[in-house]
Amino acid sequence: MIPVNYITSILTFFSIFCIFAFGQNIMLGYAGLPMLGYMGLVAVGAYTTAILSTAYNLPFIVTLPLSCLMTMLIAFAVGWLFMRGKLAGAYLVVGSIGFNFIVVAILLFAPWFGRMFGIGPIPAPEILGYRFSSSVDFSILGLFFVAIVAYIDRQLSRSALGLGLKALREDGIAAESSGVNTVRLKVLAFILGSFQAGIGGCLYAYYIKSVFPTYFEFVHSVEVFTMVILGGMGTTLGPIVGALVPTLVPEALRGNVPMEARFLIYSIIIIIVVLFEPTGILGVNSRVRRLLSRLARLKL
Amino acid sequence: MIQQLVNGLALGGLYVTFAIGMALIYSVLRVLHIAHGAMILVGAYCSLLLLPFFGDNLVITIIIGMLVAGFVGTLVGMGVYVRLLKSKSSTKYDTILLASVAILIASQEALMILFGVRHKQYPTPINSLTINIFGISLFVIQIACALVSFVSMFVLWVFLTKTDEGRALRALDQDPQLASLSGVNPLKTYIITLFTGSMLGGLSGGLLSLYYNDVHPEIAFVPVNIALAVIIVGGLGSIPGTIIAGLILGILETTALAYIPLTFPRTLVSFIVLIVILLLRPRGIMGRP
Repeated sequence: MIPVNYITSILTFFSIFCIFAFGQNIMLGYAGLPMLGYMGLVAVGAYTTAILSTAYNLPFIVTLPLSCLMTMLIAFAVGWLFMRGKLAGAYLVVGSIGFNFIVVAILLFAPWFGRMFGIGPIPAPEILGYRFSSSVDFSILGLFFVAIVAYIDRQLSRSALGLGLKALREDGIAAESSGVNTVRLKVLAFILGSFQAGIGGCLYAYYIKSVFPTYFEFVHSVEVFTMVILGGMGTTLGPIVGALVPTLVPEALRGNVPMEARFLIYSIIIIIVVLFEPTGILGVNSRVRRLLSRLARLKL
Repeated sequence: MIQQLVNGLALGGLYVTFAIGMALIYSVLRVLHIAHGAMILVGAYCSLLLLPFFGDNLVITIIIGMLVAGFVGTLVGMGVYVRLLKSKSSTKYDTILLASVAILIASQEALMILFGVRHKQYPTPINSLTINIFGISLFVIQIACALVSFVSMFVLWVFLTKTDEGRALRALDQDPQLASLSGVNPLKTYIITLFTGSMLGGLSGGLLSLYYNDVHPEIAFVPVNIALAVIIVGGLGSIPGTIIAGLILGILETTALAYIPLTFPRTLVSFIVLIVILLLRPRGIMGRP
């Protein structure tokens, strides 16, 4: 018998990472901006929540919007600085890695962020008098926000803004010559994609109870990046499928293969998927998606 | 002060040797070759583990390490990058980037399983030998690293400017379509580029492991990050820019570590320089607009 707590803690981590993946999906999937420092933005949200809830005792209802706001402000600054220099492709990749490193360094060395000891303990969030303390509560809260974020993603992909972002991804020059203000649109994609970092960072901070700089290192940004590409960039189901992989694969391998081989197997799975489905498992033109649409046409 | 300068030049030379491979591969394939770090590992493990078979002759094992790295790099490039580059998808470069990171992680983990997590050291550590020149004591290994990296840069320059293969490589970098119209075989040039670049990666791996007297699956992580900063600061695809940026970052890093009384990760200096350069000159020091 598998204990309930085990399942709900996996579910909580899944939902938090799924929220990150939706944010990354707006930047990478819709706008085609390879931001490889997403955890830098998540760190802003998580630390805002941590500081507000420990030093100022503010409730969840206040910390959640404030950490979203703070993350979006930082994303606006970073996005504006990057896009002003018209960074694209490899320049943007390395620039965003640099952003991630510098955020972690600031958390480690600036006196206000608890240095390597982090900030904690963060009290359990309360909504209308109900305390979310167990992992069952957190998994419900997490899935609720996944639903919200997925709904936003769905609406965005159908809106004029989403289409503009996709046009930007497919052909920046063509989009610009047909009257799309590309710089403004890219900065907007940065801000829109950081909203999820705020929500996810806030939930993450409440769930793990103390925040440390190591949780937001570049390696974890690679994880979020992986989810979006594996799942399928620019689709709504993609981030969900992508977030399932890093949460389920280690658990499925647990006990069956030695500890040391888990990362090896995981990275080999990534290479194989990428080689056979370059657009991701549920990508725009993937075999799985074509198969699904064929099944849908059969009206089974 | 001169001591710091030599330190910086030796370290910068190693970074340049490594980063040039990455820059070469970027200039031809337009791929951010993060898996280049695996070549450091191949070079380091070959030059240490093959020592007993070649009578403790470091020169031979480092050269073997270079060749093995060249083969591994070519295999990875042709098997993964060139295959994925054929895709028409607008997001293929992000996919390749992910594949590249996954290859680096897979090779780290595979080496960890094969040879264990313990830090391995050379039987006769030569990184503590010093010689006196004009009253300044310098580490032999630093001079060796600096010399080997400058010689390899010179050889690379001769290759790129004086041979047909090198010219084909530069042509493919400047205008892929025109180059293939004038009879440059892209696949052959890809192989030559990947082999040359990966050989430089293997060489820097062998030297780096000697420099720190440390062979471990994680020694590639810091050089990869610094090399990313180096090629961006230098301007993507520009070999002179890469050399200048590598030397500057090497010198800045050693001076910062020597004079700032704080413990900080060594990659931090490079990334601060990176962000400053990106804000002031978004195309790097010598990048094309």
